[in-house]
Amino acid sequence: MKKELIEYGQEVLRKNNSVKIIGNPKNKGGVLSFTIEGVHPHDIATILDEDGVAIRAGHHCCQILHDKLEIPASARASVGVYNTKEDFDQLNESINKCKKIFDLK
Amino acid sequence: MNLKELYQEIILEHGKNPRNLGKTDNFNKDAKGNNPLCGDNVHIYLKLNDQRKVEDISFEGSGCAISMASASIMTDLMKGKSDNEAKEIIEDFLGMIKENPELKSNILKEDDKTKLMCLSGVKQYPMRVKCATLSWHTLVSAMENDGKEISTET
Repeated sequence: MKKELIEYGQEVLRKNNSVKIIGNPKNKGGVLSFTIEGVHPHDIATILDEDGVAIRAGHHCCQILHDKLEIPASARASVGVYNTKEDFDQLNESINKCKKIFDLK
Repeated sequence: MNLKELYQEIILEHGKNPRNLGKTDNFNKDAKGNNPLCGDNVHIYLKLNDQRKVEDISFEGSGCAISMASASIMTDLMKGKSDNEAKEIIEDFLGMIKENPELKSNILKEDDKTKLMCLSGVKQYPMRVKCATLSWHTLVSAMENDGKEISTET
C-alpha cells in the first residue's frame, strides 16, 4: 500500500514540470525528496504548511550529500499509514501555489 | 496567519533580485553567517571610512527568499550610516522582529522604515525568524571586527 502510494506520488510530481525529484532508486522507501527551481525549500515548506501539508525542508541530516548535489537544501515528503492519494493531489496543488507566489512559469 | 503578509511584493522582489549582491571593493570588515539546518548562508562585506561611516556594503550568499530579501533590504538601508547609527538600527530591527510592535528609532526615513516593516510578517512564522535575522547578526559580527562566523545554532 505504501509502495503504491509513493509510486502515485512520484507520478504526480513527475508530471509537474517545475518539480525535480531527487534520486530514483530501484527500491524506494516511503519518502520523496524534491526541489523546485526558483523556490527555496524553506519557502516551499512555509507555503505548503498554510494548506495543511507538512513536509521537511533543509538538509535532512545529510549536508555532505547536498554539497555533492550542489543544492542548498531540499524538500521531502514522506508517507505513513494515514496518508492517501488525495494528500499527494493536495501536495501538487500547493506546489502550484508556490509557483504562483514566486511567479514561476 | 496570512501568507500575503509574509511574502509581500517587496520581499519577493528583493528575494529574487537582491540589491548589493557581490563583494565590496577594498572592504575593511567582513563576516560570515550560516544556518546549518537549512542552508541559508551569507557573507557581509563593508567599508567603513575614517569618519566611521558605511561607505559601501554588500553581501554574497544563498538561501531562502526571506534571508536574501532581509540581507538586501539591510544593505540598502545601511549605506551612509555611521557605525553607531547602524548599531541602533540593528537593535531596533531585532527588537521589532522578536517582540516590539514597531520600529522605535528615528534614524531611518519614513519610506525606509516602511520597507523594513515589510519583514514584520515574519513574526507570525517563528520558524522563519532566524532567516530574517541571520544577515543582521552577521553584520554585527563584521562591525565588531572580530568577524566571528555566526551560526543560528549555537
